[in-house]
Amino acid sequence: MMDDILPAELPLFAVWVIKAVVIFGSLISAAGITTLAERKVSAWIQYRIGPNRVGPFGLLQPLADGVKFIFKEELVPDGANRLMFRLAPMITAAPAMMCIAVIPFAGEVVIGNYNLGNLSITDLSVSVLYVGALTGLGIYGIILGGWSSNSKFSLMGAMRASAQMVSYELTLLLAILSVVLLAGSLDLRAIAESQASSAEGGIGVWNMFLQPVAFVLFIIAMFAETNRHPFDFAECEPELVGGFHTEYSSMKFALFFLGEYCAIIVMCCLVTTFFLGGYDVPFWDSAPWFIQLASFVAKAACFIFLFLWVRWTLPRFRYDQLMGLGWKVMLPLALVNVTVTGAVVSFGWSPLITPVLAVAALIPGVILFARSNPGEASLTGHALSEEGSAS
Amino acid sequence: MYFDYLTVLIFASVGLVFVFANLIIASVLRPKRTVTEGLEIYECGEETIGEAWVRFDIRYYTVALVYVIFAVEIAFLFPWAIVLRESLLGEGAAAGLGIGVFALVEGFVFIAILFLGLAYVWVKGDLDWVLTYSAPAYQPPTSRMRAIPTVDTLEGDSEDDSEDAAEDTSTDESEDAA
Repeated sequence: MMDDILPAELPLFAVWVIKAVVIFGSLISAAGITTLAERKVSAWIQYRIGPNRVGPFGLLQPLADGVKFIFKEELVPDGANRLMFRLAPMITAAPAMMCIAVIPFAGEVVIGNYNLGNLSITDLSVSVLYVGALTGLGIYGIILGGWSSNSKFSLMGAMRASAQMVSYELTLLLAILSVVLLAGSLDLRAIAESQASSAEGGIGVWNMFLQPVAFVLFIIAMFAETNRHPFDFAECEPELVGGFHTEYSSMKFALFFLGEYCAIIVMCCLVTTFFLGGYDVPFWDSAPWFIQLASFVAKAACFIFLFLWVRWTLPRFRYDQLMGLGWKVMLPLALVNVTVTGAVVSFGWSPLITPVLAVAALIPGVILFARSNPGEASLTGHALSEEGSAS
Repeated sequence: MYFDYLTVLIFASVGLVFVFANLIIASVLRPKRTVTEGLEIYECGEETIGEAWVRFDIRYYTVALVYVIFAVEIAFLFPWAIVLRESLLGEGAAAGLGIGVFALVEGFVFIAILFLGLAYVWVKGDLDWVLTYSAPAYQPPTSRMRAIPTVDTLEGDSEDDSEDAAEDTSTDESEDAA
């Protein structure tokens, strides 16, 4: 029956549109589910029940939230720059959503007779640069939104957010760079496949184990890039009311919200691709596409949970600590890691020794750092000695 | 190859349709009141004084400059990373390790120069968010300035009095300059 109605092969354009709609819909749904997960996980960690009225287990809560946003009155504060005020939420949300276009979710999708190609919007040969460019663009929306509101809280939140995102983007990119050195490609799919055991020349080890330093740096930097706890200075409630979106309401606020959660999801997908082998299923090279997809989603979901978990576990940093960590610890660390990885790659050594070399190269740096900050070093020593005496 | 970007464009247009549809639906459905209180800028119930567009201490000015330099550096390092890898495979490998080591050293020199820049900014103290303005160390009063009466001078000798009288005019000048 179906074979008679449908053409033997779908036109290319139709495939593109189907993929775009499906992946965009999944992204928006995932963002909605993440908002629900955020509230549920918060509730569990605080020994509460969390939203449980709308739908079974509160599963329809994101829809109810969306409807509420639509019916909310919209306010543009007096004296705001109206054009920028309206543009800013879109400028924030768009780059975060666009990033998902290059994420490889699975290999070739075959449904019945139809081969829809690889499961991603596109496989650019320079997708790493594409992602880097778009994450950099996210800053514009936040700083425009904060500035155009003509509110002091918004302005301060925007200033903090931009300085913070700028500082941590370097570390993020350098962590990616060391992965690129290992994989020898700027294509996210190639990077993911280079970690699979079926890859030619690949040794089937996830980059998480080959590049532990880059992995940790990437995770810390992605928290700062998405303005999440413990680095959420852009919207730090006790200090800045709502930060850069203090004056926003209704659908525009929802867009900021959506952008934030999309950014979180994108970051989780990126860390999965770069460090956890993407859609690679361990010990099963020729897994069908839906198993690969499930593997990818499971890995990314673990990181989304990490985001929510950290929020209720770690206290907020102080702003000068944040900037100090970014520039004085993480950036030199990332540079050292890139250097060591470059040496390992060009001498043709086994990538497995990269972590050992990176740690070895770090030791003099750590000693220098401890010496240059005698106050902090002695503080650490004091805390350690106290612990020792207590036990 | 450009079809890759066309698919991105299709994806972006789906996103745009979604965003604008939401905004338009919301603008039709939501209540429109002209309540002036709601339009005031939120400052925890206080009346807003002045605009937010004031001269603001953009502390991260130097940080932003360093960021731009490093971002450009990283943009150059990405092709370097690819070349380094390719020099080991295929034709590069056939020609021996020569280009690999050369590219490696070149990359190291490049990173080292920028690392020096970072070290310079670091030592200068521009990476410290909390700036400590070190005032010049306290100078004991010279003949040009009026002595600030300290406990010692108030208790002790009165030999400075004659100087004080002579230096009144210069003190005024120094105050103006300050």
